[in-house]
Amino acid sequence: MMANQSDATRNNSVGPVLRSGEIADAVIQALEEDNPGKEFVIQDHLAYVRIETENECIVRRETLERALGRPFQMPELEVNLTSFSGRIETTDTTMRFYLEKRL
Amino acid sequence: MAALGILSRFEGDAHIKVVNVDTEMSFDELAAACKVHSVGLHVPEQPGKTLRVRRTTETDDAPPFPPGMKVEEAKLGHLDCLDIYFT
Amino acid sequence: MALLERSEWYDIARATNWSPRYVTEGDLFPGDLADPYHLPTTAWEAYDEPYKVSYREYVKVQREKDAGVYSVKAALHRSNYYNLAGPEWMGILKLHYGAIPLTEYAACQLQGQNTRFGRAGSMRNMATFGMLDEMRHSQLQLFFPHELLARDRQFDWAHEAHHTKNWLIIGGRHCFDDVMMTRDAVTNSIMTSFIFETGFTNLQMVGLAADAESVGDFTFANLITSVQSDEARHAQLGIPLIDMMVKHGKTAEVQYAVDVGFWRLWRVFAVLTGIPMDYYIPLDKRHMSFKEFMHEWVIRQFERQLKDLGLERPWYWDIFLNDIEVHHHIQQGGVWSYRPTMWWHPVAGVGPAEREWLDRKYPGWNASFGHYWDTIIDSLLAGREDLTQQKVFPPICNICQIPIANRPGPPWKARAFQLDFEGRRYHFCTPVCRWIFESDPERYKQHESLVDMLVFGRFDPPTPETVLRYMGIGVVSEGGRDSNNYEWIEAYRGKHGHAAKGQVSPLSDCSLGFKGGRKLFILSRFEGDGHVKTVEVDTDFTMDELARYCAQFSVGHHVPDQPGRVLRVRRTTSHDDAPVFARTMRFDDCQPRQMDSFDIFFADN
Repeated sequence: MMANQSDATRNNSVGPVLRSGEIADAVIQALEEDNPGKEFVIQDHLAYVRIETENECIVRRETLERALGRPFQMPELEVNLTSFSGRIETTDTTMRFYLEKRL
Repeated sequence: MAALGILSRFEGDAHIKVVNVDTEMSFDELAAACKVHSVGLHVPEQPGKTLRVRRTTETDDAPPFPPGMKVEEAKLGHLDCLDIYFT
Repeated sequence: MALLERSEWYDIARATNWSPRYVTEGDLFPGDLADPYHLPTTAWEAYDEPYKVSYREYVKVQREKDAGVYSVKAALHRSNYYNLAGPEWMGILKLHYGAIPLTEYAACQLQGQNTRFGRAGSMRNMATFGMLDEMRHSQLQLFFPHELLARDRQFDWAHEAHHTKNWLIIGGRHCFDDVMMTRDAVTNSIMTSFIFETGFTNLQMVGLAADAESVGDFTFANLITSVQSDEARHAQLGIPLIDMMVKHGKTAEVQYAVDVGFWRLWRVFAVLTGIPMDYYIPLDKRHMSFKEFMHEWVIRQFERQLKDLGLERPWYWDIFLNDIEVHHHIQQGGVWSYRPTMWWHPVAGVGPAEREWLDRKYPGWNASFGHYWDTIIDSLLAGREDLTQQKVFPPICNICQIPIANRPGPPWKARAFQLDFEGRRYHFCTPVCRWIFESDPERYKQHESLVDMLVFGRFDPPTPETVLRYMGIGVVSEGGRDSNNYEWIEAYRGKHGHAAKGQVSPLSDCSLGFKGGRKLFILSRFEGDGHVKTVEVDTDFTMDELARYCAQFSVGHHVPDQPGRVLRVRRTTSHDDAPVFARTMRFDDCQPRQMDSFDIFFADN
């Protein structure tokens, strides 16, 4: 893992870093549903969960509500979103993580 | 006789230290004055070896000052950095 | 009544720019406070924050965050956690709370500047939320340690540290004054929102939370990750600015701001976060090494984002990668060696198992830092705690304000990088700090480090005690001592590869006071002792006094006492046959020179 720090920047990983708990579990479920065919790497760091995939991923309010079994407003995600890799784009019904350039 | 602050870059020590010396001292005495702030604190003694002093340079290859030479004669500036090293 | 979706009204709500009629645009947004890069008005009109939030949503979400933080605190209030937490964890909390809460207030002022001087309505909008965020962070992180104050006065540093001139606080303040408090709204957004809040705060607020969870301090883990959830949002303030700058041909200016800000924040955060992660967290609770966290958060995540924005990694990248292997390790040595200057009790963290871990995570640690700690361990095993206390000051870097230090032991990399500028000599830890100074000397040249002040005669009297008080030690609370009263050295007793050396300090205590003669270093070659020792003596001593003075550093340390016998003195020669001096003879009368060697030996009379 630590083999070559200089090359570590060469990655195209994007995705949320969430506080561990119910929301993180639901987001993982929703992401897998909303981004078919994408492989997610999920790292559990006790206090936080890092969720990553290549280039782009999106999480939709509707899917998240189904995963949680209750109504959910996208801004509520902020309570648990401690960080993320890549860039972010927020709308009323989606949160998208992406990169402009591929390395 | 005048007090002079120098930077002691003592061989093997991680910390550079500000040491006050007297321009009347010889470089041997200057090395001893710097030694007490490094040896036994962060650097072990090297029995049987002697200490030499040279100016700090990028390439660690300045000629050592003659041990008996007076600090005054070296025309050091305030807070000049010196290597103190074992030989 | 159905509410409109946010997107249906958001653009109108954030469009708060107007055409000034009573003042010029330039008076309203002076360049050095707002935008010295003169980005065109059309560029500002296109500013679009990526992480959107309305005030209504903001209040709702923040209320929920606070409810979470306070309820965990309340639920765990009656737990016995802080009674059981070891001194190591308490040290981390004191360091964190001393360094962070009032820095959050500084960040609040930065956001205030952007709320007023951001040239886009949406930027001002984001900054307003950022300002409220930072107020929340200060308040939370003052309130939480306040509860701990009753059990330990050192927690008072949570509120007091930034009102003191403690060296480490000066280091932090100098950095944040540079990146937060004294720049324009564009540059401070690049340096603070972008570099600090998307790069380094993750280490302290999320990385450290993993360790907090592991040691069982759920209150703290919950608090700091909640704080960082605000940062993740308002940190996005900087990204549209960087996009704008790059698009309008200001790439070199952004790159400069990134290169300066990144290095400044790195130097501070390596001390703040690196030391706790690699030395204070109990070994079995360590989640990852500081280097691994750096790898995850800064290199892999943050530097990747630099590329995405069309920027390059800083020019000093190789120096930075090397610094990850060295900087916090040697500052750990410095913090421990200068423990009376700290507001917590520093942890050594170098037991045999810890050292094995360090050498595995940082190959070569033992061959370098190991020498440094072996010397300290030897002195402690020799009963010479006094030798592990530093009595002289190190030079302090005129940019990062951190003591100049580097790899110890055989690699011997410590070096001061100096610069003579306008008649004054400046000292730097690395070529990078020197480059920062030289790139803008007007900005930095006035400041005097604590060591400059000492050298310039600002302390009266110029004693360590004066400097300690100046730093708030003994004023706000007592200073630091070894966190577990040196019990950690017991693991080395009888096993350590090196014989105890018992090197003697010239300042060592002695019931025999100095008499007012010349002070002179001599080598004490004491009968039966394996070590020759450097002792500073008084030339007015009699030979009897000289012998007794030197005996205190050998008898009981490496040589058993011989009761009923007396000590005599002679010069050291190759055949041990120099004439013995009379016991009442004045030492000066043998015309000693600095570092002459004398035998001190037992005799019947």
